[in-house]
Amino acid sequence: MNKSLLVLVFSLLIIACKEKEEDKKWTFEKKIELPEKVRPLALEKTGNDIWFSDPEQFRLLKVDLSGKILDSITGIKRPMNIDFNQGKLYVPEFLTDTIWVFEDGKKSALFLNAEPQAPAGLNAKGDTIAIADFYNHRIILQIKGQVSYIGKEGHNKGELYYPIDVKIKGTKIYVADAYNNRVQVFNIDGKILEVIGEKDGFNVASGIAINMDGLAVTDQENNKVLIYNLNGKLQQTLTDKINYPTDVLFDENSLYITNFKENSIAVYKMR
Amino acid sequence: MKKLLILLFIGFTVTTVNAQADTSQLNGKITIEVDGLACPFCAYGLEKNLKEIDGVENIEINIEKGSVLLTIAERKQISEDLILQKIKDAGFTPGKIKKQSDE
Repeated sequence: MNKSLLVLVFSLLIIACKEKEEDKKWTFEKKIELPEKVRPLALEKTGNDIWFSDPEQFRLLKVDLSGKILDSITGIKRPMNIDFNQGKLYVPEFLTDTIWVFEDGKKSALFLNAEPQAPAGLNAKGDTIAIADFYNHRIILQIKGQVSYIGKEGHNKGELYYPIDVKIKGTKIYVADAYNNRVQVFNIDGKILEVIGEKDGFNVASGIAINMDGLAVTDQENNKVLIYNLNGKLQQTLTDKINYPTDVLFDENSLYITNFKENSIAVYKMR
Repeated sequence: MKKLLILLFIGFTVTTVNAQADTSQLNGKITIEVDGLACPFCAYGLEKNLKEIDGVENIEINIEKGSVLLTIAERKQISEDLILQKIKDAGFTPGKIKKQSDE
C-alpha cells in the first residue's frame, strides 16, 4: 500500500513539473533603448555586452545591457547579419562582398574560395562557415577551405529566394529563405531535410536563432517573431514591442530582438 | 542615285527617331521613388546595383521615404532607361523620377 502511494505521489510530481515546464512562455521584459539615430539590424552577444550592426550609419556598435555605448567599428559599407565565434567577430559587408573578421582589435578579410554577391548573413562554427549569398540565391558552405553550395534560385522545396540568414546546428544548416517566406533545413551535402513555417503567414523571414529547444524566426514585415520546437512545430508568436524585427538571438533565459525601424532592442524572458 | 537618296532619307529618319527616343539623359541630382524600399536588405541591394552605373557619384537611400537621391558626376550623363533597368534588376518597381531642376 505504502509503495503504491509513493508511486502515485511521484507520478503526480512528474506530471506537475512537466506541465509547469510546458507552461513556460517567452514574455516581454524590457527594451534596451539606443541613441536616437541608431537602426539595429543584427546582433551578437559577447560576454555581458551586445555588438550590433547599424548599416544606416555604416558602423557596428557595442553596448551594455542598459544601452550605453562601449565601443564602435566604423566605415563598414552596410554591415549585415554579424556572427561571433571563438573570439572573432564576423561582419559581412554587403556593398563590397567582403567578410571582415575582427579579433583583438585587428581587422582582416576572410579568405573565401567563392564569390558572394551581397553577403547578408553568416554563421561560423570552428572550421566551417556558412554564408547567405543574397543575390545568388544560395548558401556558400566553406569547410576547411573547401567550398560547396546549397540551393539555387527558385520557389520549390530546396530552392532559395533571397536568403538572408543562416545557422549551423550539428550537421544541419538552417536557412532564412527570406522571400520564399519560410525556413529550410538542409544537411551539409545540400540535401533538403525540412521546411518550416511555410503555412504560418511569413512576410520576409529574415533572421534565425537556434537553441536546445528550437528556433526563433523573425517575420520582418509582420512585426512578429515565431518560436518553433526542433520538430518545426509552432510554439509561440511574439508581437509585444516588436517593430520591424530583422534579427533574433537566444542567450540562456533571454531572447533579444532587433527593432530595425526604431532605436531599440526588445528583450524577452522565459517565464 | 534615286535609290541612294531614298536610303539616305530612311537612314536619317531612323537616326532622328532613335535620337528622340534617347533624349532622357539625366545629370545633376535626381530623386527616384521606388516601391517596396522599406526592407533594408533590398534597399542596400538597390544601392549596390546603382553604384555599378558609370557616372554615379553618390547615392543616398532613404528607407523611411522609399526614395533614392542619386548624384551624377559633373559633365556626365546617364540614360533614364539604364537607371530604370538597374532598379528592375534589383527586383523593384521604379516610380517617379524627379530632376533637382524640377523641384
